[in-house]
Amino acid sequence: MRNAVYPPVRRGRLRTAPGPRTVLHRGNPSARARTERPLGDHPVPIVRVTPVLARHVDAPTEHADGATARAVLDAYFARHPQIRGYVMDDQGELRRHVTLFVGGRPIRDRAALTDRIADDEALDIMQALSGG
Amino acid sequence: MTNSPSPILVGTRKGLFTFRRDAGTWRAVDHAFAGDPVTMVLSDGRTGDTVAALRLGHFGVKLHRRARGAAAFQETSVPEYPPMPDGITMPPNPNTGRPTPWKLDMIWELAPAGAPGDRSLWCGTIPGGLFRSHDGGATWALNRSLWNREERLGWFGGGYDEAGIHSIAPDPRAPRSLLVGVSCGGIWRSDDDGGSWRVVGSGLRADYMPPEKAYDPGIQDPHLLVRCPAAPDRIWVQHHNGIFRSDDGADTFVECGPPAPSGFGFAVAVHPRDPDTAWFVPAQKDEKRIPVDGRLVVLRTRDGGRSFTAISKGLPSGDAWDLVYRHALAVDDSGEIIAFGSTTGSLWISEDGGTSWSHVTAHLPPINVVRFAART
Repeated sequence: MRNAVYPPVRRGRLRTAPGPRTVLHRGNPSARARTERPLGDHPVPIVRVTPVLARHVDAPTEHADGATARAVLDAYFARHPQIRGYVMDDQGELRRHVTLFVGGRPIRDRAALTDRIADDEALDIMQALSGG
Repeated sequence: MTNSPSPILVGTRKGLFTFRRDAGTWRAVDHAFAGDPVTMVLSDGRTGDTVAALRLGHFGVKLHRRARGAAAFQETSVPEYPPMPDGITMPPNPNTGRPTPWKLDMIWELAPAGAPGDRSLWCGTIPGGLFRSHDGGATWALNRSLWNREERLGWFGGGYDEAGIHSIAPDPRAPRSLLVGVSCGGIWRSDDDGGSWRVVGSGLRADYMPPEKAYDPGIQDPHLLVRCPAAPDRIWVQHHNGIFRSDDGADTFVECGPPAPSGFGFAVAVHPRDPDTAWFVPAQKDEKRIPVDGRLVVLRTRDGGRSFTAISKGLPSGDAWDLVYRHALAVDDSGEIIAFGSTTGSLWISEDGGTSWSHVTAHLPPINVVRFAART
């Protein structure tokens, strides 16, 4: 689950309605999602985490529902609370040396993360090239 | 010595190394957190646990705990600053012009709190928050009585952009009494387990301030303070402007020296049983943080700072540019084994109270902290 391909690429619309137990096929980031629960009726964005972070904490590539970057992250962190502190600081702000790509675009609203995300898009959590 | 020496924990810019003496030779036997900056490590003699603080460049501050006898560290909670109250505005930091960030930047000190058998911990951080855990680091709370002191708004960075707490020294006779050293915010004392605080340190002198502020206790830069376990009223401070000694639990200080070749430095270690014996590793001065003439020496006093000996046996006699950070000098329980590490990645160990030194390695990453593993 730590082998998403970068730079992030736009994905075609998913045909499945993945939920919390959904993962991508290992080693094949263009693979259709497979689900471990019955199909729903709509696709949701997918969250992908830089392998650099995956060195520190288990951070699966996984679908998470939401219409904004903030909502998708909140849904993702709700299932993986151990990741939140690596991406957000203790005041709930995006860490200075972490950046997000929303549908392949650099996040514009780093403060409130209000960037809109479409159901067939990816939210990529990346490390900034500054710092470190 | 009949016992084998305690292992030495060396926290570096690129991981935590453990050195052991085997057949007379000190060797690195473990490298945890390879590649990650380790800013502090505590070997807790009460529990046998080891707690390591990381400052990941991208992903923030992390704490890891290794239980006694365990092989691996497990991540635990970090101190978190509480949400900033509505309506509060932080004044600009005089050095940066920007408000002091209200968030955790670095763990600079970890210390046991409370009585033997207790699992409480103190944690000193940048930007100046003191935290307390009552459960061995599983949960933390900001000490608000210090954080809310009006004087804190006058603290400023020394070594880092923001002020930080680097020294926490409970009184072993009465652990509810403790000292906290702040760069730059002076020395603070609590006698009620952190419930209330007063600034101490009369006699400390700050040449980096305007003359009328030079003796203001609240703006001093005590690079490190240590307390003699056997004589807890004896406090040694390696200050930005020299070496200072207190005989009354840090209420008042006298300046020692200045010793040759320099009284500037960051680290100090005190003998566990002899309060008059302490070690320092001097650098030239603030503007030249290198050994004087490239000659690395350890300063030792055995008479409470009335005289100092610059020891060079086993240390490079020239072309050495090693700087020793404040936490990178340590003495073991016997007072005989001393270790220090430099920002250029060399580690030296003495087994005769600092009289002579052995160069263990020149190839470590920059060294932040050196600690002896506690005997449990």
